[in-house]
Amino acid sequence: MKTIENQPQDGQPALEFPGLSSIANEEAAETVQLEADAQAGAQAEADARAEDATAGWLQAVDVAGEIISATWQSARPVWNPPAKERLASALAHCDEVYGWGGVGAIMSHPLLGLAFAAFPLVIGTAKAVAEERRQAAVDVEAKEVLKPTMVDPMATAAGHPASQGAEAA
Amino acid sequence: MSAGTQNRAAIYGIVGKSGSGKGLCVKGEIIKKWRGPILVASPLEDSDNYTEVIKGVVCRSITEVVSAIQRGHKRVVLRTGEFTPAQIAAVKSRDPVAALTKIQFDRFCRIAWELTGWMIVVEELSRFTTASWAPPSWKNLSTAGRHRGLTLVGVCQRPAQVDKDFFGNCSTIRCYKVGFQNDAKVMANTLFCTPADILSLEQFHYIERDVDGNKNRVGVAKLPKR
Repeated sequence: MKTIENQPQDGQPALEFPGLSSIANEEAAETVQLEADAQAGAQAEADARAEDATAGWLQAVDVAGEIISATWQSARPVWNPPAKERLASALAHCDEVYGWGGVGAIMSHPLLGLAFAAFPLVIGTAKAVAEERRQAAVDVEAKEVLKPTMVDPMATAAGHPASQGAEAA
Repeated sequence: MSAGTQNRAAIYGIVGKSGSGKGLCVKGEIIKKWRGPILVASPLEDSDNYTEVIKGVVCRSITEVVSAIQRGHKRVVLRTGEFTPAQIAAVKSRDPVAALTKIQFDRFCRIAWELTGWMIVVEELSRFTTASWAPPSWKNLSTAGRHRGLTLVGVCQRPAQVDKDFFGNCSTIRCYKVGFQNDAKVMANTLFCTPADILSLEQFHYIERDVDGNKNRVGVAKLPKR
């Protein structure tokens, strides 16, 4: 098929149609404008999408921050708004790059649901075990401390040999 | 040919459903006899293939059409309705291609207006006009094209969906078989016959009205020799 590029009219005098150029210019200007509009529209759409994604992730980070802060009170200052926003923004970027499918898709993943359900149990159990161990250690220590001080005043008075060691200590 | 009121209006309206024979009329009779320059608006160029028929160049935008004409091409086809994704994305309309095509057709007609002595062929008119609407530039062509020494050929399948004024300005109207009663009514009104006359036409058969001579004749399209 002939196109105007591959079939120049060599030898033909260029035709003078003064009115035509302005019509072509109209279209050319409009095309430039439309393409600029399309680019701006696409950018605005991408920005809005990124903003939506970040907002979704921020909600998730807020929830996570609350759970962690409730568990470890001392971590509450660490989970401050600017830090959470940075984390949400990074997660949104990863989501876009790795195609996680959005915060909704991630949050509805069964393993994540399991993790959320298990987290308080694991932490609570760990805390209970730690507390139990701590208590046991305190008890052992108390026994150790109290053991040598258990002196029978009657025996002391009677000059019992058991009281002599205690006095020396 | 020079512009002026002495030019006899040569405006053809060719109507018929797909496969009725109207293509044979336009390509095999009207264009075949024409030795001058031609500009075609072809929305279905893949199947209509006017570029081959007129041995012309194909363009995909108004800018290309203007460039081709200014470079001396005298047989030019515009594939209408082809726009970049960016153009389509930027138009806020339920049907951006239709919206862009309207603008493109207006510019096509304005170009045609400048082309004294040319034949202007517009295929599938219903893609560019409706029964109640046409761009002013098209109205200019169909009402005053003769002053510019233009020969205008408008082709359509659905006359009921085409600018009504167009048929009123034709010097010759040829109607092949149509597919809808509404279309038959419109053409009966235009050709001063009955809708049944139109609906009973067989493939390749037509009724042609010489508007200036106020005469109708019937005929059969000439099939190309194999």
